[in-house]
Amino acid sequence: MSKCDIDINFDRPDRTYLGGETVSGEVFVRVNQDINCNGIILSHYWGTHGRGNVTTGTKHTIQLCESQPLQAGEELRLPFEFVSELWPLTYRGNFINLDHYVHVGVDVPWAIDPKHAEEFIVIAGQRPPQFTGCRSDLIDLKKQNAKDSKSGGIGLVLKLGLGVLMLSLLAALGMLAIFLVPIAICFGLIYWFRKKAISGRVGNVDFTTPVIVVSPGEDWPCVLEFTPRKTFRINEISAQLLVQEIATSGSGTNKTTCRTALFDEKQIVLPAGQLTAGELVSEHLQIPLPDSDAWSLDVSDNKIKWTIDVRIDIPRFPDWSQKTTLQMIPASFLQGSATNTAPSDSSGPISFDKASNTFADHATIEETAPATVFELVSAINNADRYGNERTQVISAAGGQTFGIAVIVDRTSTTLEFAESVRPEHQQGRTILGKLAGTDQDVQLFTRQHNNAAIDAIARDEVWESQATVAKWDSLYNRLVMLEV
Amino acid sequence: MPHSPLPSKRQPSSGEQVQHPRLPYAHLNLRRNPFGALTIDDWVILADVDIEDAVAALSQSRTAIQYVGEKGYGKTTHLLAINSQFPNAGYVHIPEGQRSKVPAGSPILIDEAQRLTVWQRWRLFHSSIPLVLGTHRDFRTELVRAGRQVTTIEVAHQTDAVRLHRLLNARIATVRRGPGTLPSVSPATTNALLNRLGPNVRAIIHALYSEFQTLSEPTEI
Repeated sequence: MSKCDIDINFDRPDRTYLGGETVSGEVFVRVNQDINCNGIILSHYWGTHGRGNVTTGTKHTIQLCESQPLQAGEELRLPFEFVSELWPLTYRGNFINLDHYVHVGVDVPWAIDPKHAEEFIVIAGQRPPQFTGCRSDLIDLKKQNAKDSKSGGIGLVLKLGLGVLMLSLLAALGMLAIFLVPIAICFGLIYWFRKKAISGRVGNVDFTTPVIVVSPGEDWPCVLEFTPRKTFRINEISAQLLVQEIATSGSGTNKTTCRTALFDEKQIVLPAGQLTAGELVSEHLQIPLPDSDAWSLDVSDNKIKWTIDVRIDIPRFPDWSQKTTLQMIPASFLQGSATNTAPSDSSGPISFDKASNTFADHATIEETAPATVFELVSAINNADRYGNERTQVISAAGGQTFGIAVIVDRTSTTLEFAESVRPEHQQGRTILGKLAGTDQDVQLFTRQHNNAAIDAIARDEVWESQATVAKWDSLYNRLVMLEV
Repeated sequence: MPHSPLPSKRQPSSGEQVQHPRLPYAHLNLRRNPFGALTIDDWVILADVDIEDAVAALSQSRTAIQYVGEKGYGKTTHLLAINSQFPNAGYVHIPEGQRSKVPAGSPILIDEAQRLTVWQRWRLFHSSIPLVLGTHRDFRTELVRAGRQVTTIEVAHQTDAVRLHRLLNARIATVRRGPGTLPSVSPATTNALLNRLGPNVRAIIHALYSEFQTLSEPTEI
């Protein structure tokens, strides 16, 4: 039997807090054996779990109880309160998860300390100070993370050690230079010739964008301009948006890096054809970014990366390509929040100087309102995945109420600040499942008065309702609907 | 679009509770995927290895125990488990392509011992401090020549279906969230994994991680 049993209870049953909010609750300790206790310490911190090596943030500690003897049978109720961290936010992925923890330990000398930890959920709230509103440069969170992790004296020793190692390596390299230099020159020449060959065809390619800090659901503007120096054929010009989880476990030869694509979509900017020497190619793009809570993350061995790879695919010739890393952050961090007095320097849609040419212009959708949800699902399946056709189908169905039956997969409490949630749904539930009679996934936000009935629903049961369409979630390929 | 008949909606009975999957892996009654990366502390706690004989032998000076095997077969697990039994032990894992200093302590545990320099190996083998090696290469001849009492353990032979089954379910149990049913790995699945992947515990763990990501309720797999 453990010397103590520890429970941690939060003031909120759903344990969900905005960044910067006060997290409070009570720690309950039941003493099972007489012990000399050197104190009861609460610590709160964030930590990753999943396929990547565990990384934790700074552990902030609070002493709940001073040193004292504890008797068997004694019960302690210790209230706690602290301000939740602003970043990173709770994340649930495939290879990577990030959670915030309250950890309580009873310091028992000369014995294993009884301890217990519970998770709580942190969602976007107060804007972290490193998000100044500037959107043209990646926000360097590593300095913040380095400050958070244990450093100080250990970091200095590590840096000195690395410096000595580098000097030793340089000395060794100096002796090997006679062999390495020709190899390095060869590789350099190959790289230079390749670059010259490409620019000899496409010329100088200008790829510009006003922002690289973005939020979900935005249309990311960019301009691709070049004047070919020669007439040549292309297979296509494309822009591929890739969102990846990258998790590394182990170290040295045991290191394994796993990648999984959360989103991978290529959009054709220009199809196969011929480019004429001297004729300007100018493409103004609005690349739609999916709704997502996969915020850009780079904590040691756990990364979530958003990249856009623009490519000029030239047959039987090296391609021109440029990869841009985006930083995906919550929209509230760009627009400011109720508790944040510093407005960002952007508001509303991302503006761009030149007129844009959206992908929607390449196709038109007959905007007739579907009569039933089955017609709506059929229209979505028939719409082109690329561009905004599906969004236009949803727009055509806007305001219309559909009778639906959802085969329930799971239910949860609606996050107050979930995308698309209206005030009347904020105290309700979220049902994830499939529309009965189809393979279409759906996310349904319900009203509060149905909470009891929904809480009693089991998986694979049916929830019947009337609902309107809020939007199309292109990340999860599902309809988002609001109960009326 | 074909319409399938709607399943009848069951009237919910009173008292049923649905655990909302807000907390990680709550739908499996777990706190995390049990087959994700471990901290060193968790690694030691979960080590299911026979080290009693090795621990007893290490009380003698000039003892050398070497665990030989491929990557992922359990060499480091054995060394970490032994290390936890000796407060004064010195342990080092030598990264690839790098030199590491031989730690002080007794016993001395060297993980990836094949990466020791010739000089380090000579000094270490000829010392009288008890030694534990994790290695891809068998150093028996050199150790015996240095006057050591040598025990060589092929780690691949340490992993059998019974031990593996116990280890996998122990990993699940350590991340239990609350009372109630847990998912589990059946003996049949354990055997199938051993047949498919051999005694490569790391590969088996990775395969089960993906399996658990798709589980929707606590069942036996």
